[in-house]
Parts: sequence; structure tokens; C-alpha cells
Amino acid sequence: MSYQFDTVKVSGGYHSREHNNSVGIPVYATAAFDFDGFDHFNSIRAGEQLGYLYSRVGNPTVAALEARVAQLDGGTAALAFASGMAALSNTLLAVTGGKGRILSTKQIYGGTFDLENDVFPSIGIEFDLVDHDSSIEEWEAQIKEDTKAVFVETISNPSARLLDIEALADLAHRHNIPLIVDNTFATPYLFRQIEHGADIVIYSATKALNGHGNAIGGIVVEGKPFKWAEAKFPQLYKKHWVARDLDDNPRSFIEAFPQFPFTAFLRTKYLAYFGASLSPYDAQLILIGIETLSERVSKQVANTRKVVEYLAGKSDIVSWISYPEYENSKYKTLADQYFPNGAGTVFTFGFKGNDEQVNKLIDSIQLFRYQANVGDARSLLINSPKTTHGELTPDELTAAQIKPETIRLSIGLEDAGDLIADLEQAFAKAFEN
Amino acid sequence: MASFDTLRIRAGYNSREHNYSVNVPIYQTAAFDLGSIDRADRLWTFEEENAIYTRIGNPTVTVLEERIKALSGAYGALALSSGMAAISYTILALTEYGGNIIAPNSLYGGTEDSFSHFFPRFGANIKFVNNRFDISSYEKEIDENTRGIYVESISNPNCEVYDIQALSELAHQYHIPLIVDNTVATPYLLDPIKYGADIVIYSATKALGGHGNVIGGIIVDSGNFRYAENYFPQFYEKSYKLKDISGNCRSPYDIDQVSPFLIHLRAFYLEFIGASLSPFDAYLILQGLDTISERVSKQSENAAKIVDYLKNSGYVTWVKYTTVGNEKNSEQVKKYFDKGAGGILSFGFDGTDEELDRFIKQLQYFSYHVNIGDVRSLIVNCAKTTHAEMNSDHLSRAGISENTIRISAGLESAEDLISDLESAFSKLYQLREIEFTGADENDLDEITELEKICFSEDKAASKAAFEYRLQNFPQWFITARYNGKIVGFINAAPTDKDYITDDVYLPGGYFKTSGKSIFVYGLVVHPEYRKRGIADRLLNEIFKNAKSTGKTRVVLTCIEGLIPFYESHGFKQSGKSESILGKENNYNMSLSLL
Repeated sequence: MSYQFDTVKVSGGYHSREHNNSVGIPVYATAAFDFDGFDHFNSIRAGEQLGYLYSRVGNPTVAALEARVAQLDGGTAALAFASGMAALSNTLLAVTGGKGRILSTKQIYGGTFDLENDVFPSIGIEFDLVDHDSSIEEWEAQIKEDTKAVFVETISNPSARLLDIEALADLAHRHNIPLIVDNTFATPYLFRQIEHGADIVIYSATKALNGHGNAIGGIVVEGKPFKWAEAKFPQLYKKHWVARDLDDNPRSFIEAFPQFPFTAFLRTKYLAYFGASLSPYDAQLILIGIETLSERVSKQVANTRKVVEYLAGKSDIVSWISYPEYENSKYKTLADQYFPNGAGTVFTFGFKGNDEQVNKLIDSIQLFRYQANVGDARSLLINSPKTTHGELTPDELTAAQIKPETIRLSIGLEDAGDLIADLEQAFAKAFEN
Repeated sequence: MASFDTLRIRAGYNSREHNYSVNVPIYQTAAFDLGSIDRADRLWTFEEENAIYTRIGNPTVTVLEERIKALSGAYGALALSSGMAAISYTILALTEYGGNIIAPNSLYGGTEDSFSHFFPRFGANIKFVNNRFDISSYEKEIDENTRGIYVESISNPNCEVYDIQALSELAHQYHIPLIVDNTVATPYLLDPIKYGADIVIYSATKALGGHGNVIGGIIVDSGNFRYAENYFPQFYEKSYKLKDISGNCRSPYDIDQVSPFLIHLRAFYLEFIGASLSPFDAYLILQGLDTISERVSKQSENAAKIVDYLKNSGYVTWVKYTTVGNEKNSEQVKKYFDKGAGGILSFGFDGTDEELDRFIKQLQYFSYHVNIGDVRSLIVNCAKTTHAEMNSDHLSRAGISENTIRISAGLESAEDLISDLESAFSKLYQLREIEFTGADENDLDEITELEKICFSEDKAASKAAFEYRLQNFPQWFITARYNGKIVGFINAAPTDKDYITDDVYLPGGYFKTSGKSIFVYGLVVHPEYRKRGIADRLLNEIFKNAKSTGKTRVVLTCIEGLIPFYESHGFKQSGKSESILGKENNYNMSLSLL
């Protein structure tokens, strides 16, 4: 029987009878697992029997989280990592097989940007970046022989820009490469990208997925089976000893795990060796956070709309607002098409103050917190150019279209009136002499 | 039958029953699925033993209980949220229909206080025995209402050890159980059940868990004691709550003839008063148990070395440990404690409160807080803290001196611990030999030299400046001398100004004898004599003089780094000084003497 989203968020992926009837998911705070004998070990390893070998590569609490998120997204499998960046970097490494190109945009989270610019090229993975608002033809022009994937954020960080996911999915599939999306800001509640053609989804679970700012984690979801062409993705067809069957015949991941070859490959070859495993304790926290995903995000969207409306009336302080539902936004159509429940809870605005006044603004906020996170139950404010996108040089910031006066807000669950009053008083203090 | 070291790692847990997880999973859940009505009926009537609701039972907590039970060679165990929960549940459950418990009068402060003042409100009276080592003194207190004898296997803080075997024989003669609080010893050093104890209690917070990171308690029932109906009718009272699967009322005894006590505790006390242990905390205690043998034996070694050091140091007036300072212990210690004598010890030295405070502050490897049995070494002044509920009378009858300092030895290197104590003691005693006196022109060279050692050239006062000060207001010049050598001094001047300008520091600087304020030029202590409290004393001498001569204020300027020091003496900051001495920022500090 298949359940609706709200039901899955509460009970997906976990059966208490498999865990001594414990209603709450136990925290399997263990490094290892006992075996009844070698056969038992081998059949788990070969994927013939459900079980666990070692918590770096698999753990019951973490497995429950993986199953729940896969179900919420309508994917076939998921894999958890110690952080969003681990999820992202391991995925890009796995999809390129260590060599190749990724096509992406210039308007992206600062950490990702630096990874693309600096770290990955040093190990053989190149990025081609187009402007976020490029036409499909402009995107297509950048696809090269060794491009292995298209990668975008479904709602970009920090300015909440949107793109036409279906069009990009079509483009990617025309060239036999997967579309990888970072759905962190939206969460499965606001956007079910697999339904729109995305093949692999990445989350920083740290953000709105968990929603309480109390755990760092990342998740990769594998969508409907993708046709991985052997010529482009030989790593999935190579026969690996670690994927051998019960009779010790080496197998490829496509052979061994036909339903979810990519996540199996990611787990066995990347999670295993780069070791960015998620703690079972943090997995439990994230599971608990997911139980209120719909309620939290819908309330946060309502709050966001009110704060945007307030800022829209402060033209003496606010030079521009970047939020897809804002009437002037060029992404309004895309918002209506893809994000009927709201285009996220994070947006930016231009602050008409100098550096000193920005400092004063930050000093004066009392409810909004000045910290580097988004999607928390608490509302947050940050000056992105200097912080979350601080890795970008002024030139890069310009190319990324992140203006120096950018302030990013992540709206939480507090009373909207209180939030607006906080901004009001902080603006006043920032500009007083 | 496996031995202690094996049991502490493995007893009570079968990974096959927990998805093969090597480590005990943390069943972080409030409830458990019941499955079916049939199963629920069986669970409710004790036909099936599985978890229903974490307040009264949880798989992680069960593993802990089973492990302690195995380590104790006992019939059953119950884990609770704290040691005091374990004590209070035990005392109250045994005396439900009124009655008294007999106990020696030298106990942990919380136990002693609850016994004296709190439990009596609930009908549980405690009869204290003063002559604690004399078995007949206990016998004298037993009457037809006595429901148990309670002792600590190693008492806190004096480390007294009583004859448990004799006490258990006495108790059984009168059909009452012997209850032993085995917290300090842990099952590693002593198995009270072997010597006849019926109920054993632990604060798992202490050496049992061993890492100072969790609060927990455990009650263990040996299974050897027959709780007679006439003495413990509560265990024979039938209630609907305990009904069997056909709906017939039952008593705790009906459910478990061996330990109706534990059934009663879980079904009524844990159920209704709810001091349940968190599964996460149970997990932490299990972790700590893995190393209990190594920890406790090392702690006993360290404690014994510290005791030796203290005994021979000449710094302390008395030391108490299981093997030292308690002559009445020696028989028992030989009999009961062959693996080590415990990690706590206490001592006293003749000193003022101030000295004690400084002594404790100077220690680097001893933490000042209330706990025992941690991996960290701890030190505390019991009379004011852990035994603060006891007034002087109480303390003296309990044989607990008011100057008792208790040490709980941790796992640090004994050498480091001892040299830490030595350093703090030697400084303390040295300060006592420091003479605080005045100065005259014969001291000028020495004073000027010391000033140069402590201040840079542009800040140091000149010999001429000191000469000027000694000539004009010598009563405000105080020196600290050790064996005749000046190791510190303070000099000040009376003034009527609110704040100081740089010219005042020079020879010929402004002063006003009739002024109501005292301005402190400088406070200097030789680097080799610091951290002994000399600066504190010098400052206090100035305060004393100022008050006795009717001055109302003391002012000075200092650098930012010294503001906390002066604030600790009551000075308040009043903004940046105009002084540019030393080319750094100076701040005006002011203390009102009124």
C-alpha cells in the first residue's frame, strides 16, 4: 500500500517489529555487528540478505533515514553522509569516475563554488559554468564529449533563483547524462524533482530537512533507474571484486544492484573509502526532524511571504528583493509552475547601508540570529558576500551576480509579527547617528 | 561460570536479539509496539517480559540491570535515575507500613540528611548508631519495628569499614535485611552479597559508571532474603494492578517469591514515582563498566600513593583512608578489600578558610566539584559541600572533622597528582612564613631592584621616587619578607583627588595627608613568589590601614589584564586613565571603603 507524503514522513522506512518493538527508532550506537558465521557475513556483503557489516558503510538507524528520504522523494534508494558537502563531493566524484566534466551554473552555494573552482580541478574534474539564466541552447553549447552530468540547485543559494528543471532534465537525457540536483532549500515537501526528471538528488540534511539546526548530515537519493551508458560510465560496468556474488564471481554494480547501481557504487567505493559516514545519533535527530517537515516548511513559507511583503514596503532601506514569488521576480512563472506550495524560505535583499551600517544592523537584531545556516526553526540573517559565499573573490561574486549589499534571510518558525518588528528596530538602529 | 572481568564486558546482552549490533543499541523511545491484544495482556500480567513503556522498562536499561546482576551474583537488579532514587525507594519500600532502619551516623551527607529529616515524614524512621564499629550497639537499637540495617561498605568521606558479615548475621537473626551502599567500592573491590548483604545499592554516577558523565542508581537484590509477611505486608498485598491473565488480583509475592521487593519497586515506585533511567544514560554506564576493573584498581593505587605522600609530608594533621587513620578498620579491610582499598581518602590541615580556598584554587590536576569516582581527580571541602546538611553536632558525632578535605583519586599519573599537592602545600606554608612589615631607607636598593625586575624601564619607579615616598608617607609602604629578603611590596599615598595623573608617580608627586583617598602606586611580587597570595595580603594590609585611619576610598590605575584581579578585591572600573605610563592603556579602578 502506498502512502501520502505526510504519512511517509512519520513512518516511512522503519518497522518497529524489526527493532524489538521500539516505537522510536533506536540509536544503534555501535561500530560493528555480530555474524552467525561466515555465510551470514558473505550473504550480507553480496546483497543477498539484509544486514549490516560495519557502521561506516551501513547502520540500522542510518538505514531508516535513507529509506524514509528515498520514499519521500519517490526514489529507489538513498545514501546518507556525514554532511551535505560530503554527499555532494562524493556524488560528483562517483559520477565522473574521477575524470570528466560537470556542467553547472555560476550562481551556487559558496562552498560548492570553491570545490568546483579549486579542489576538483586539482584531481581531474573540470567544471563548465553557465549563467543561471542562460537559455537551453546556451546550456547545450557547453556540453562536451566528456561531460558526465548537469548539476544545479533547485532553489539557488543565496538568492533563490529558479531554473526550468524539466527542460534541463530533457537536455541532460538527450546527451545521456544524468541531471543531479541539490534540493536542500526546497526539501521534498516543496519540490519532488524526481517527478520532474531529476536523476540524482542531493540534500544537506543539516538544513530544512532536519529543521532544527542540531545535526550535520547529507543525503543522496537515486531516482528512477537511469540508463547509464557503458561508454560514458564505465565505472558502473567494471567488474569489482567487492561486488562479487556468493560464488566469488566479480560483478559490476549494474549487475549486482540493478535497482540502484549508483547508490550501491557510492556506498561501496566512496563512502567506504572516503569514510564520511553519518553518526547514528545524528541520523536519529534528522529522522525526528523529518516527522514535522510539512508543518514546519509550510509555516516557514507563510512567514517568508509576510516578511517579503514587509520589506517590499521599505524602499528607503531595501534596494531589491530576490524571491521568486515577489512580483518583480523574473522567476515568478517558474515558481508558479514548479513551486505551488512556496518557493522556499530563504531569500536575499539589497541593504542600502554601508559596511558600518551592516555591522550595526547585525549587532542590533535580537530575534534573527547571525549564523551560517539555513532552514532552522530559528530565523537567521547573514551577509553572504562576506561569509557563506566568502570563498568568492569580488570578481567571482560579480560573475555569480551576488551583489555586495546582499543580505540573506532564512525564515524560521517564530511569530511573523515579531520577526518584522525585529527587522524594523534593527533597521532604525543601523541608520541612527 | 565466567569471572568478573569477562562478565563486565559481556553479561546481559545477546546481539542476536538486537539486530546483531555489537554495542547495545540505545532504545531512545518512550513506547513499544504491543503487537496484539493477546500480547498486551501477557505483557501487563508479567507472562511475557518485554518492554511496554520506558518509564518502567527499556531494553538498554535492561541490559545494564542484567549486567550488574551478573557482576553481583544476584537475583535481580533495578536501574533508576540516580543513587538517591535507589536509596529512597529502598528505604520507603521497606518501611511502608511504618518502621525503622538502623544505620551508623557517619554517612554521605545526602543520605544522612534524608534519613534524619526527610524520610521520617513518610513514616520511615532512622535510628542512628554512634558506636559504629560495635555490633552490639546495632543490636541495642533493633526492636519489633526495625525493617533493615543500612551501611556504606566504605563510608564517605572517612572511609570507615564495618564488619558486614557480622552485621548481616545480626540482621538475619532478627529477620531483617542488610542493605549495603557499595558505591565507593563498586562490585570490583567488594561483593557484599558474598558476605551476607541482602540488598546492595549503587550510585552508578560514581566509580561504577566512572566518567562523571551521567547520573544513575541501581538496586540489587541478592535473592537470599525471605521477606516475611508480618514484617513486609506490602509485598503480600493483593492488588488489581498486579492481576494475572484471568483477572485475579495478585501480590508482588504472588508474582515473584524470591524478590517481591523488586516487583514491588518496579510496579509501584518506578511506575508511580517514576525515577526512570534514560536509555542513553544506561548506555553510558554500560560503556563505563567495560573498564571498571582497570579504572578502580588504578584509582586505588593512586589513592594509596597520595595517602602515603600526605602522611609523610608533615603538611597535614590527619589522614583517613581505608588502610590508614582508622585503626578499627584494619581487620575488616584485610578481610574484605584484597583487590584495593578504594579511590577516596580524606585529610585535614590547620588553616584558615582563605588558605584552604587558595590551596584548592592552585591545584591544576584536581577538580573542585562534588562527585567521586570520576576519571578526573577531585577535591572538595566536605563540611561545606557534600556534607553541608550536617550541623557541627552531627559532624562531630559522625567523626567528620570540619576541616575535612576529601580527595577522589582519578586516573592521572600519581606523580603529577602528588607534585601538584606538594606545590600547593609548599606555597601555602611558605606564605605563613612571610613577614609583612614596613620599610625604611636601608631597603631602598632592594626595593628599586625588585621594581626593575617586575616592570619595564618606562614603567618602573626610580630610587628617588621611592625615597620621596618613604620620607613623606612611610606608613603606606608595606613589604613582604621571606627569610629577611623582600619578595614583594605595595606602596601608596593619601590623596584628595579622584583620579591620578602621571606626574604623581614622580619624586615630588602630589599627595595630601588629610585626603580621604588612598592611591596605590604599585603592587609588586617577585616572579618566583607569585601565586601564593602575597599580593592579596599586601593589598589587604593597605585596606586595613586605610579603614583604621578613616579613609573612604582606594584608587589605582592598572592595565587591562589586571582588571579581573582588582575586581576580585571589590574594585570597580571607572574608565580609561589618562596615564600613558608604559605606553599601554591603563584603567582607573576605585574601591569604596564605606
